[in-house]
Amino acid sequence: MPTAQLYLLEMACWGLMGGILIMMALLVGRRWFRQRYFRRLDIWRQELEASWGRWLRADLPDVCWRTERHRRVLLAERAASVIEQPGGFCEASRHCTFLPAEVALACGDRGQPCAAPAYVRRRVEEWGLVRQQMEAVRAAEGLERAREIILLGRLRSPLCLPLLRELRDDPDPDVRLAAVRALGLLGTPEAVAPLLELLERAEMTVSIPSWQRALISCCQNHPALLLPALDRLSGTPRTLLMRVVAEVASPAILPNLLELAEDPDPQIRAHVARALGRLEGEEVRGCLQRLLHDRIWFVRVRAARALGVHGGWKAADLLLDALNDTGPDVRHAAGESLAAAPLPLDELFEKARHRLTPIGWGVLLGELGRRGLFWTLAEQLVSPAPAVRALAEQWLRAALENGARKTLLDALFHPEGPVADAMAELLVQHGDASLLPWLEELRARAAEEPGGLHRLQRLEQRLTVSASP
Amino acid sequence: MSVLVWIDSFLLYYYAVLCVIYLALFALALLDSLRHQQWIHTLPLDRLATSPLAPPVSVLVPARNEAAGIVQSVESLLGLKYPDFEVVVINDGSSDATLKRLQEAFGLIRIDFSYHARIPTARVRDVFASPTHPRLLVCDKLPGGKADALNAGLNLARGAYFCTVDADAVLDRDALLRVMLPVYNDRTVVASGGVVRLANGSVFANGRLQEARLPRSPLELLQVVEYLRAFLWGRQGWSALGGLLIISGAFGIFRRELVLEIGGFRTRTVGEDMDLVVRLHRRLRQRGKPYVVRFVPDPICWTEAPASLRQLSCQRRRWQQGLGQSLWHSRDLLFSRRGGRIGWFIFPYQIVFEFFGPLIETLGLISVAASAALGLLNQEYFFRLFLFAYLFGTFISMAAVYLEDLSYHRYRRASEVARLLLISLFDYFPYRLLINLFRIQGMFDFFRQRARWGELARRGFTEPQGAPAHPA
Repeated sequence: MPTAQLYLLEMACWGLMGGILIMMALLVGRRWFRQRYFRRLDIWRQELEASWGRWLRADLPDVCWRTERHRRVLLAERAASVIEQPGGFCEASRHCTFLPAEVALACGDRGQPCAAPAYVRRRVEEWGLVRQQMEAVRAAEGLERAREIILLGRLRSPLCLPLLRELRDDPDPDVRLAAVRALGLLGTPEAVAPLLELLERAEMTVSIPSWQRALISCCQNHPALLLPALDRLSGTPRTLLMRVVAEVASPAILPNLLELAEDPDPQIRAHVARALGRLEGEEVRGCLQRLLHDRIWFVRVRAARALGVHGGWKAADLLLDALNDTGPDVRHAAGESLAAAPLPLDELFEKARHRLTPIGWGVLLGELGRRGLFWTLAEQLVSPAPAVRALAEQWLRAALENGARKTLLDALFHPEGPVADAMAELLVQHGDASLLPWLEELRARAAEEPGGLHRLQRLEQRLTVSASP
Repeated sequence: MSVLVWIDSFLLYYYAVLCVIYLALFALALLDSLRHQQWIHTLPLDRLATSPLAPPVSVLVPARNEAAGIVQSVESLLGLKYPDFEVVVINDGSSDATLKRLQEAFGLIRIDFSYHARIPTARVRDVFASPTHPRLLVCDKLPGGKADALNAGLNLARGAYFCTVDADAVLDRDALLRVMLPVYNDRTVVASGGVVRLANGSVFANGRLQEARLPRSPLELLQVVEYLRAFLWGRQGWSALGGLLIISGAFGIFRRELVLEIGGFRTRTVGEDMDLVVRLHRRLRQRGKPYVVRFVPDPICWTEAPASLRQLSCQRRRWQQGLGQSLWHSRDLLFSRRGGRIGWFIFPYQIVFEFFGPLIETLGLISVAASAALGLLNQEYFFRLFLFAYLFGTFISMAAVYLEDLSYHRYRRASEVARLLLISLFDYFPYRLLINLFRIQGMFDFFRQRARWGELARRGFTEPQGAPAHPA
């Protein structure tokens, strides 16, 4: 065996042993460093929390946040946690207690707009933290830079808009994406233009959902800002933008939406249907009715879901027709929407009786059962109020006549004995002998339930008697 | 004699290539892992958890005789942090109290559900819903196997994506959100898989992981290291290379329409998860459109590992058989014109190093030992070769532990990391040798076309684990 090979093998073994030792040393070292780092971070955080009131009163404590990165990040995150207060309402008094008295006076009642976010945003600019953060963005690289950009966005200062616009076109995809997210975090109408400019390019250079989310956040109260671009664009970019419009739609843009409902692109029509779910009125319902008969199935699905949001008998009428649709997804969407609407069951069944195909019935009953409606009705059979009892009985009979057998027979095993007995009584009164084969299937289960077998046998006997001539 | 020398030389080259591939995978996994850690810190996960743009997901849970842990599993799934999802449990003809436990825990009621079978399956007896948990749907069907149960779930599912989760698994609360991140950011992602880790020894309460701990039994501990190696090193490395051929059936998401298009899960295989991913690759390669199959290293699915050798043997034989069946079924992908790196590199790798690997390694070991005994091989060379192989194997296992500590840090106590490092010394020898023997048996099962599933005795997650296993 050549000595060279032996030597190589020996070297490789030493190399591996060295590698293992180095790895273990790195592991131990890193654990020690992590422990130390988090301990220090905790101390800094406590210091910041203790002096937060002084920070806000412009009495800047002597800490080196301008030169120490970790301290700057902590400070920016603390400020961002106030600025990002959800809804801007005064829900967390912890933010307001630190405010100077004259500012805090305007604040305090629950449900009132909180003065803290605006105040802190102004303070953050006065401290120079925003400028400092912008410098940090410029100095950092790669994903570290992306993190700094996100933090900058969280401070929601309009000062950073030009920088974010510039970073939106950075060659690094992570930086571009972070810039788009930061623009979204700003949440101002001014940030819409730089986001829309991305669409005009030949190719979208950032993740589409992130871009859409950013736009939604900026246009939440200004959907009209998107319409000019929607007119200008075509093809996929237009569809992407329409998805955003669907999320921020308001009555102000209803005429435009009605116009778009006639668009030749089915994706656009589907998004219009989604948008109309957020609006109300006769015009809206009329438009949804048209979309419910669209030749593309996913447009019909969207229209059915939107009608479900509307609720009421007018929508239910349209949805009942959709239960006979040729597309299974449309039928399910219609069924779900109907089941979600609080409608009197007997009337619903009455309307449905002459209109639904067996498949449509199956979907409707399945969805109603899934919502637990029949189960709730069974429980109402033992209600002390006679009116409630009568109504529950009436609706359950209607369900039984229309084929909801499985769900109703299941109520024979209700954990509350009186409910199960009441259900058995209802089934006896109904006297449908076609239930007998179904009861056979339940025998094994009935044997396990207390009183189940007795109840089942009694029901069987009485149904057999009623079935005999 | 010359045959032995020839085999020894072949083995040497084979082993050298394998070492290079492993090192390359480690480098890729390390870089990808560090990058992922940084990237995830830039994401506003809380905002994504309420995003209206998140695609709806159906979580499919096939369950057969899972009475011990099904309630905890479903509870953990119903508490997932994701804007729009449903949980579909498919009771695949369990002979134990699986369905009864579900009925009691979630107040299930039978519903007259219109079942539209886009993929043919064994008969669906009943569909149940829970009035108290509107996201939950339970399907009771005649037994047909895991793939058949998943197909029934696919027929019931309504989400644009579906996620397969084993019934004995518990997901981290944000696992679904994290595994969907690649889809959210890039709509060309057709499948994405998370990490499966072993729950043995860890403490669970109310269907949630309280503390990640290690099991006491060495066999289970060795499996912990093996899983770390397989997921954090292997899959992450292959994913970075764009050649992920397997997404664990215990936890992975797929685009529903695409899977329906290729006929759902194939029922005539015991490795339905790998089979599906390979078939997806084949279909999408043929189509020639860009697509991505991703592995995400931080959404974690906790599952039970076999606690006895018999169960472990059963599991590994099945996996090896499933690997063979998947590769054989999609063999036209091998060196095909449109195969790309999958057909020209990953597929051959899977055949040579994964399917035939255990046989080659074991025969090679015997051959080298015989050569040394017959004096055909220098004793010193033999010793050094084995030392190198052992050290390399140990290096790989320790590097996987290092990767875990560097990136994900789930085992907080230093003593637990020390135990993992210590047990890594036994990973190459004798554990890998043992696993190779099981895998060789699996190879023969494949050639004899002998399907075997075997069942793992479940202990459930309710009690703090760590006690010695009590397999049935």
